Amino acid sequence: MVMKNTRSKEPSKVEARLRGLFLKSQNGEERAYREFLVEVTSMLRTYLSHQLRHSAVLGSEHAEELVQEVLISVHNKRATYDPSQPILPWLFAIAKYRMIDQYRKDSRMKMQSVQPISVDSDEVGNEIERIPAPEPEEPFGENLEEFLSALTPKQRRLIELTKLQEKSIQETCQIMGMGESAVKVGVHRAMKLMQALATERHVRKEV
Amino acid sequence: MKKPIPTDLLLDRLVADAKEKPHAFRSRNLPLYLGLWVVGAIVLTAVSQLILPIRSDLVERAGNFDFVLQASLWLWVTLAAAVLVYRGGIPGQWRSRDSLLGILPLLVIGGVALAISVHEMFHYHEKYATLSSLIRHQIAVHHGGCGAVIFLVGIGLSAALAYWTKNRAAPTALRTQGAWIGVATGALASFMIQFACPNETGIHTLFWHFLPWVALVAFGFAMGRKILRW
Repeated sequence: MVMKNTRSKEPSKVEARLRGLFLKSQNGEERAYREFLVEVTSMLRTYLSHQLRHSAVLGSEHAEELVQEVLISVHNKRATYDPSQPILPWLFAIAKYRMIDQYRKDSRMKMQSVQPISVDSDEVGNEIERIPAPEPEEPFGENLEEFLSALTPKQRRLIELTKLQEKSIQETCQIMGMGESAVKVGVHRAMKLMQALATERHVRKEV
Repeated sequence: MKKPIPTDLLLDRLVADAKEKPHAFRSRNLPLYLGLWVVGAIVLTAVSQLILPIRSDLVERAGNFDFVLQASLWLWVTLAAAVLVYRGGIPGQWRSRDSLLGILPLLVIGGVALAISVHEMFHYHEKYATLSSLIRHQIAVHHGGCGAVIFLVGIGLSAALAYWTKNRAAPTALRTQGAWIGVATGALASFMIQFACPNETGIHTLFWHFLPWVALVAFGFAMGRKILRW
């Protein structure tokens, strides 16, 4: 028995509308571009929420940020759209790429934060001494709680003791029941993670 | 991951930023792109003739079928891989079957070189008693000259192509894209060296023309995710 291909070769209404809007926007029509972005945003929101719902690495609460990432990528690479091709595969290829990229980035960050602490760390310790406590006008200042929430409980406690309560390394060792090197390395890694988050936030604000 | 700004505000910024027309990257530019590769191959070969020692039998060999076939295959692989790099730079356009365009001639060249090498190994059995002595002989006689040229030229071209890909295109399969960049540039370098290297034995081709190319592909594959990320 020969199966008939029931798939229509005609583009869907959504495809046709989005393509039309995008082509207009390529010619500099602002209104068309806004309409395109609004439609794409709601489409991506649904798609990414669904994709992230069962994700072990990224939760669905990250969908909105991922939507923004995809929108920025679509905007930056809008010249790569080939008008002779359908727009939805182009759009979803970018969304999928960004999602995988975010998975990798997030997995790396989580791996870094749970790595076992090395005890051979005198150099790192010296470096720690040079890192000043965050000033109120610095990016950590107003969003400190937010940055601290990205840390593991142990890292958070270390930062609270050494940077906020200004305890010495020795005092922190006693309170935490850890070795000196372990405390230095732990603080160093926590500070690096917070700085990375602060930089990422700064870059986003620049867009 | 924290939400930095409301999405509506982001949309306003993107719309405001979109007043300038984006630089075109379209499929109709493909013939122009391929033309650039052909011109690049000719220029590179001409330059190599000025810098590298010219093989004395070039005029004679240029009329032979096997030489023309080999050169055509290298050029074919170069152009096929270049098309794949181009298509890989447009999201949603990558098709796995397209890879056959580049893989088939690659297998032909590798297979023929390997077959001739094996034949030569048996033919010169007394001279090359073991594989290790064969490898030692190749390194002692040729010092990797062709291989080094192919690898260095390939790395230079790969860097330029990777730069272009990262800035002007939007690859979504980074490792694959890196590997195809290695295929395209390595094949171009091998095409070029063919006009300078008089040694056409299978073993030499396998060691110093084919393996450096494979190394470039492996390098591209390994570095793709790091270099081409956008």
